Amino acid sequence: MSLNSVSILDGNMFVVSDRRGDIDATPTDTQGLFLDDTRFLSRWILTINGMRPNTLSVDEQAYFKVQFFEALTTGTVYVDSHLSVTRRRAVANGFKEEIEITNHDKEPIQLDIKLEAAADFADLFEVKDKLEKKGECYSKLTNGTLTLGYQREGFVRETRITPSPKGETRKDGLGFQVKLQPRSSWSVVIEVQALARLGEPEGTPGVSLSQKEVDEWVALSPRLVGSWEPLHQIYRRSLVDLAALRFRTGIVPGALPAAGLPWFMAVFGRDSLLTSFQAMPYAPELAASTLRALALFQGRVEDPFRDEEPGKILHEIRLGEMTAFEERPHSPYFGSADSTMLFLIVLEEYVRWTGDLAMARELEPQARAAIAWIDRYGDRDGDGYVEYERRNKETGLDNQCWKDSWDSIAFADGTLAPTPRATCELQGYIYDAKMRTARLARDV
Amino acid sequence: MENQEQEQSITDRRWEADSPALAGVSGRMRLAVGTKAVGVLVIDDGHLTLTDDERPVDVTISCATRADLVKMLRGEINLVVAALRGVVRQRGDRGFGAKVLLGLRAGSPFVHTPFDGKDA
Repeated sequence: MSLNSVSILDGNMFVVSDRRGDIDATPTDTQGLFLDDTRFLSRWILTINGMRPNTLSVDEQAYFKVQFFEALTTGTVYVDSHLSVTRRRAVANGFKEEIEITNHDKEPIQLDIKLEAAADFADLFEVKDKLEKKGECYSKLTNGTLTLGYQREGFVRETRITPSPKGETRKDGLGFQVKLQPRSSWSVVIEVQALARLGEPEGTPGVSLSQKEVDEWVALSPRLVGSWEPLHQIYRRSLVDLAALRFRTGIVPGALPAAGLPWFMAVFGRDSLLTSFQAMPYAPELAASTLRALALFQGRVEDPFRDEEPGKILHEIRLGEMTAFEERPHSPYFGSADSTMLFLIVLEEYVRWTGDLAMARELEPQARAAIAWIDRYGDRDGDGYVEYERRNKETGLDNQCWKDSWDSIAFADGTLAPTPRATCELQGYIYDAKMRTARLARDV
Repeated sequence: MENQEQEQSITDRRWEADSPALAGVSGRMRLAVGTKAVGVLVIDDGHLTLTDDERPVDVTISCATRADLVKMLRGEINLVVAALRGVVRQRGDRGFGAKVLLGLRAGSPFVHTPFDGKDA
């Protein structure tokens, strides 16, 4: 992602814009409003009298809200504008943006304000791989609301854009004709809803998250006592960053940690488990949610397309169009040789930190299934080591361990190691997982 | 708890069967085609009863077509794919609904059940 981009997020919904607040997605600049691995807005550009305001400063107030301070300038040496623009944006259930324009001059001014809007509904994989869409885009106007939509069979996604006060709504955006008196301001609030049809939107755009909720979550963590103030700041910032990674599935209680913005705001096996493990002293509830979500989707059948096997813990779930039409195997994809052992390790670590033996009893069937997977499927040749080799040769992962880039496991001369591959950390995880699970088995 | 208007039943008789994949899972699931309720699946620690009644349920599963519903009961539908494509929708306790659908995928006792002879 570009250093000049500004990102705000709430779970797997996020907005990536430039420092003006504009969204102008290109194959090389992955801006947009994203939800469930789909880009719901690919163009969002503000112009005033045909000009784009220039940024004076950006105030990233919290991970879910940001303010852009701008001016309509013509000069290049210094800012000589009498017109200032403030854009306040908060993400949640879509996003809400307030645009406030102030005339600092002694004379009234006529403004032609336009906000261009478009949505390409690209799957994140399409954005990464520059693939073409297979469905149809549409747009419609209803009572001042602009709806941008996409349909491919039963896969329907929509973006609804509603300004208040209403202006001139067109299929390519919004327009406002404003005569602004001297030393006065005009503002508009625009709600942008992303509808993924997995359920109705859960609330009004931009208002579900609050600093209070984040503060309360941070306050639940252990209190740091020390005399070095920077350490306090680092500690708090780390907790807030962790809060930003929280991700709700809607099918298990609580939130689990996603793997990162923007490509990895999804349920992952390895990443969600390792983050939960490392955050255990500070936010053990993340581990509880992660374990329950991964247990729910634990492998049940042999499915080569998804690299699924009974007892295996998933690698990744994606919710975009390519997953929906099985052009990618992430529904879920199980191409991870270490997640199953990490699941057992995190379960024991969670019980050790919290004393919550009920969790161990609740997940005992899944833990036993995981152990069975290690011995039956993980250790393919019965030599006591776990090795991996993808069964999905088209879209499966070559490497299913910590270093999962396709060319990451190589000899010193650069030659790729043949599959199946038994990397060293997998064997350590097995030993740790079995030792820990044996202890749990005695306790439950 | 969810309730829904009862319409044409998925079956003209009461079906009972065991599903080891749903051991430990208990609850009630209303089955619907579109907005029309067509039956209730009662799960009691892996024992499944397909019936219809008006009692409250934990979740309502609505399929786009009757054929989709039969496929779902037979474990022939991937939950994530079906949900993303609008083939299956859930209202109510989605965690319970997911457990049941994933369990049926792993081993449905209804694989050979002739649902009214109208199934796909």
